Amino acid sequence: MTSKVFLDTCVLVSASVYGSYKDLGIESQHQFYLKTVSLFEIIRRHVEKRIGIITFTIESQALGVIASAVANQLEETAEGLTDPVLKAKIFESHAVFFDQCLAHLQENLSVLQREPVSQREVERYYPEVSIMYNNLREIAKKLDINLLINANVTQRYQKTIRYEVYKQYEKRYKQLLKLKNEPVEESDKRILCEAISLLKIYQKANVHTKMYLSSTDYHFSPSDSGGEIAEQISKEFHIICDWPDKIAKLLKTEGYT
Amino acid sequence: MANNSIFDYINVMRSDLNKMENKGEVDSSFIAKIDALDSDLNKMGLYWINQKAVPISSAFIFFSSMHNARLVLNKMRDRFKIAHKDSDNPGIACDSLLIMPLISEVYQKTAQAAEEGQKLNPFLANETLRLVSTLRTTAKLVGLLPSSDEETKKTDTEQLKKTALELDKKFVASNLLNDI
Repeated sequence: MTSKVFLDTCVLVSASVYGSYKDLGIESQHQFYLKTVSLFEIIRRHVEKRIGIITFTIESQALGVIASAVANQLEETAEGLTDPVLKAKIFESHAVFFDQCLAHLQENLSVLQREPVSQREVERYYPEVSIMYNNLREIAKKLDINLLINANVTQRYQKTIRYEVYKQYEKRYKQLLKLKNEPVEESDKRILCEAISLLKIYQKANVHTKMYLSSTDYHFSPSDSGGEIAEQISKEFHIICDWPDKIAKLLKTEGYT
Repeated sequence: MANNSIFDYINVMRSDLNKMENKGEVDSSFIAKIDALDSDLNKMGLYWINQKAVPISSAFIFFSSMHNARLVLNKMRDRFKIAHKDSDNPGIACDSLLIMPLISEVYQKTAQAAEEGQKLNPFLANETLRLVSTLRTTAKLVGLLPSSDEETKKTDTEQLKKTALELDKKFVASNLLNDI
């Protein structure tokens, strides 16, 4: 069996955004950076097997996201400053940090396979993907945790541990709640279409190809207690969505040590 | 130098590099030309720091493009200075020939953005970003990109420390993808 890991933009960004300045005693990193380390180690170690894949969409988005994050921070810091010398120093320091992220992004890209995907292929799967998310959103809209607690928890506990139970249900239905509060973005739908289209191409060459979609976005990846979106994607499109560290563990069980 | 003359100047530099490659001999007077171009790119970088026509977040992309082009030029200057001692003759001329068209292209986009001002084409920043990425990749391949440590040494360390801490807070506090 061959396994492929399609990396979502957020994973590529998380893996690339860190600055390490040992002389200054500073290490700064994206909140999910550590979750990406083990996956990239496996991808790097098995680079000849082309496990990690991206598309032009992912690469372009990653570059744009990193630039926007640094540029927006610069705007917050430098807005209204009148001292030209200080302003120049602030621009410079942001550029240096940005360059380090770019260097990491380029290192990461060097071990990933960039696959072409035609627009026609993306459009072919778009309706199915859209319908899936629309159906799930309808379910999400009807989700009412208070009603679930009233129906499933005895009256006595409903009062004493309501808050704790509420939190547990929130965790359990994290993906649906995310979908309820934030509809899936068009770019996410297109990324899933690209993954589906690539899986079909790989399966023509090897029917046993398995596809993972690595993401830190709840529109794809489940919380610890599972998730309806990930289950539906797996059922309909045979793609396993999960966090990068979880996928690294799964790959290890398949012999990618 | 006016924009047109900068492009002409880069063409003259390319012609010089071609001659050096053909002769197999590095001409150290070329360093003065690198300095002159570096000074013009610095002016363009300063323009982007002080301009008021577009938001700082857009200006940063064009500042960064000049910053990266200057990084490459500085590395080029360092290698030219020791080319004879370091068996880099005419290697540095051949490597520089590969990179000069990209520097010209990056400058062209950045100058175009400056001319457009408030009517800045929204795609120009992304195109410039991609070019900068290509410039860095190519420069790294031919040994014309300074390491992160070399780059950090030339920066105000106190300011860099502040910036890294601010960005760290941002990265921990937010999901970057939701910020744009």
